[in-house]
This record gives sequence, structure tokens and C-alpha cells, in this order.
Amino acid sequence: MKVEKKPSLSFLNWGITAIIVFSISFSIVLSSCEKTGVLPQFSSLKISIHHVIDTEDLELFPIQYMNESGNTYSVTDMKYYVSSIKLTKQNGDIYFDQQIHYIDIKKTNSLSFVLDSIEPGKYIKIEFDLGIDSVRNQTGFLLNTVDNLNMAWPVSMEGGYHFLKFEGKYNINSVPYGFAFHLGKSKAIIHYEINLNKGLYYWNEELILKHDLNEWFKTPSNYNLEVDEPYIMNSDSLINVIRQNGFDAFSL
Amino acid sequence: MKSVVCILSIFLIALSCKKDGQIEPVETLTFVSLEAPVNFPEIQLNNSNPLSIEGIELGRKLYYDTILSSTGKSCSSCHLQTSSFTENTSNSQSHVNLIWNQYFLRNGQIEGTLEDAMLFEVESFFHTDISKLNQDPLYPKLFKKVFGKTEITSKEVAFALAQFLSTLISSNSKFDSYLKGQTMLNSSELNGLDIFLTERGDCFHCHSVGLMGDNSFHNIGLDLTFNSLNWGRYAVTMNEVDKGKFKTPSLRNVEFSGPYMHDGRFSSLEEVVEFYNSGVQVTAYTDPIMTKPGKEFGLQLSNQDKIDLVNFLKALTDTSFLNNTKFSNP
Repeated sequence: MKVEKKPSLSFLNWGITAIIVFSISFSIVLSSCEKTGVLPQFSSLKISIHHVIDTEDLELFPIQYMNESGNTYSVTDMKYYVSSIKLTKQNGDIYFDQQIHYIDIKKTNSLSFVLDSIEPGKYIKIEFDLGIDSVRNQTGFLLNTVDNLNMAWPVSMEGGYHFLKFEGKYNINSVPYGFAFHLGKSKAIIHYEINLNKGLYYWNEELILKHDLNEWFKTPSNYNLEVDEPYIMNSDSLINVIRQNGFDAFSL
Repeated sequence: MKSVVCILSIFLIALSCKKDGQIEPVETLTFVSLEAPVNFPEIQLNNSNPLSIEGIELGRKLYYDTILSSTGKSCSSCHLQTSSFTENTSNSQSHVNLIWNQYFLRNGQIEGTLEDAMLFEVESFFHTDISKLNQDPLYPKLFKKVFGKTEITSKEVAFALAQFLSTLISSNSKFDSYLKGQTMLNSSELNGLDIFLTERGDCFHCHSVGLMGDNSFHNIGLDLTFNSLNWGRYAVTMNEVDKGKFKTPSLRNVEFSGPYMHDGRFSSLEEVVEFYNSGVQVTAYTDPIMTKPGKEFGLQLSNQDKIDLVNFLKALTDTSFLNNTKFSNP
């Protein structure tokens, strides 16, 4: 018969002591690294976009929000491209991200993306474009994915891609109507500059960008869906009105 | 087949071990790759089911074989090639360009790969008696050659069907030739294209150029009220916002894929265009694209515009696809 030998109490004590000693030593090593400024060679930053209406988290149904003009509305779609992200360091160095990021409120995994190989340091400004610069805003430039093809701006209307599709419903006397703010054509690009006070020293740093959809209806122009044209794609002037309103849609 | 443009000519010698340990080559597979046509999304092939000439042929044989069902029906009973792999009576969905699909069935009940969709068809639609395949004098050898297994399971049947269906690519219509600068559309078709590609008709927002669909779901205003027969996507998500949404169908070969809509309520393209022109029902669930002020109840196209839009839709017919003998009953 095989007899299993139980570990003795003294052996258990020795093991526990060893684990404690190892843990303390490991902690000391970690804390000494911080204090002496031993940092990773590069940092990475996860940018998450948080969609809100004023201070509320965005919900897609029902018609429940009110814009500056008093229209009650809902959001059914919000898709757009964020590109040319630039981070400015306190010493003036610049980190530039060449990628074009597709954002779709219905696709959770599109709501955040990671910038890597960032030189550690304190960063004082983030810049980015909503849309795609004129060099790259050409039909067929982006990889032919289903999302990119669905964002195509018709060639007969200058081609390239939709920069933004913001769609929803609004009520007039309890009757639902639709609106669709579609931005496209290269001159509709929106450039954002937002001051930062963020140290990026480690991997997996995070920055949350707030995107307030109600801002698209106001400042400088109160956009009244009952009065103004709720479909703007065919009108350069209306595209510009919504574009101007969108300049303060993003904040930290 | 035209879609299989890049035969890699990689000949895999599958090796099997004899009982005495001696290794001998028993099978040779010819692997192939698929290349996305112009204006189509990149193809994401399933690495766990590499395409081979033999696998595609096996899938094709199965597609036309009633052995999959106990009712004397095959896939092809409801998916006729001449009707762009649809069938009038059953109002079945077109088996065209499915390799780009992420959602299957009209409400997207099946999400995933073509293999996932075919597994559903084998196990839950046909309730295939796999033992019939295992006892068949020919199939075990064919499956052994493609998948290297002596026992056939639902998985291998689904994988073989998926291989065949992934080759059913239609990309050679008159409109495709026009986009390549090889053909001119006539004036009626050009006006139809303008309606299609601008906010006059706004078709392109859901029927993106290329797939002529968007792999998404929309409520286009067919009904005022909703019940279990027209819940659509809501039946899957139970999310209120999805009531009455159905998957956007591809318009490839739409001339031959009637009847139209999830319940086949329209028998002709003229009826479909007239619905968009004057029959859209506005509810809280109707897609915003369908309810423009001044066009709340349709596009208000002229009679000539309606004719032109239908003519453009017919320019999406790909006769080389409909007549391709590599897709027909072997």
C-alpha cells in the first residue's frame, strides 16, 4: 500500500516564510524602479471615446433627448473616422499616429484604440482630425472592408469617404421624422486641439475623450430640425454649418 | 470558376500512417485562394477550412444532393442557380457573395462564418442523418480525401458546403464593367444610377457599391405594426430599436431573385420601386434615411425615374454567374 506523506508543519512554515520574503523583495524592487526613474523605453496610450448627450450616457432608443432648439430626438447611428492624432510633449516633441480609426457606436471594439511606441514624458496637447486628410480621402484609398465601403462617399459627389454619419429621429407633434448629418468632401474635415496635462510613462495608459452629440446642434448655429434641412449631404453650405457646430463636440 | 483566380498550385501530399507505421501518400489536394473583385471587401478566409478544388467539388455535390434531408430536398431545391440561387415559392435568400457575410438569415440569427451558417443548416434545418452519408458508397472516400477523416460528422458536411458557397461570387455585371470603364450604361441606366447614388433615391446608403448590401439591418418602413412575423432583428436581440429590421439583401442579380422583402410581398422590381416611391410607412422604428421631410411617404420619383431605376437594377445582372457551369448540378 502506498502511503502519502503529509507535509510537516515546519515545512509549511518554511514555505510561507519564503513566499513572504519573496513578495517583500519583489515590492522593494518595483518601488525602487519608480523612485529611481527606471522607465519603460516606450509608453502606450489607449484612447477611449465616450459618447454622451450633455452629461448623460448615450442610449439609442427611444426619442428622449432635447437639443438647443427644443427638438426632441434620438440617435440611431454615429459612425466616423478619427485620424492624424498628434500628441505634443512638454518639451515640444511630437508623437504622430498615421492611422485612420473607424468609430461606430454600435461596435464596442471600435470605441477604443491603442497608440503605441510613445516616448515617455509629460504631454500637454492632443490634436486629431474628424475625417480624413485630402491626400488620403480618395475613393479606394482605404482597405476595402465592409465598414469602409459602407462609408464611401459617391464618386459622383467628389468621392472619398463619409467623415461622419450622425443619424437619428425627431418628433413633430409625436410623428417621428429622420435626420442624417453626413459630413464628407475634404474641406469638411474638422481639426481638434485639446490641452492635456498627462504623463505617459508606462504601457496601458488611458485617455478618455468625451464626444457630446448634442454639440452638433449648437454653437455657433442653433440647428432646428423642424426648420432647417435635416438631410445635409447634398448641400455644401449645410455641411459647413454642421461642421462648424462640431468643433466643440470633443473634450476630455 | 472566375472567382478562383489564384490557384496556388500547392499540392499537399497528405500522409497517413499504416498500422505497421509505414507512411504512404494517399491523397493529393489542390488548394486554392479567393481574390476579392474590384470594389469588394477583402476576403477573410477561414483558416480552419482551407479551400481546395476537391473540397469545393464535394460541397457542390452535397449542395445538389437530397441525401442531406429526409424530405427529398436538397439545398438546390430552394436555391436555383437561374434565380441567383433563390426560389420563388419559398422566397429563399440568395446564395450570392455569402463569403462576405457576418450575419445569416434575414434576422441575422446566425452570426459568424459561412461554416457556422452551414452547420446550422445541416443540424437544425435539414436535421441531416449523418449515418446515411457514412454508409454511402462514395461519400466516405470523398470526405476522407478532403478532411482526412474516415468518419463523417456534421462539421465536415458544413465545411464542404461552406467551401462551395464561398465560391459563389457574382461580380461581373454590366455595372461592374461600367465601373471599370469597359462598358457604357445607356441614358436610362445612368439616370437610374444617379437616383441610386444620390439623395434622390438614397439607395447607396444601405446598398453600398460592391456588395450592393451593407451587412447590416434596417427597418425600411414596410409595416405600421409589429408582431412575431415581422419582428426581424428584434427577435434575436430583443432590443426595441431593432423592431422591423431585416438584413439588407444584396442587389446582385436582383432581377432574378424575386419575390422581394422578407415576406415576398412584392413580385416585381416595379412594385419594389413603387413601394420606395410612395408606400413607406413611418413609425418610430423606420430608418431615418427613409423619412426625409417632403419624402416621408416615398421618393416621389417621376414615372420615367422609376423606369430608369429599375433599368439600373437590371444592370446588376451577372449572366456569367447565373450560367456558370461550375456552380451547377455536377
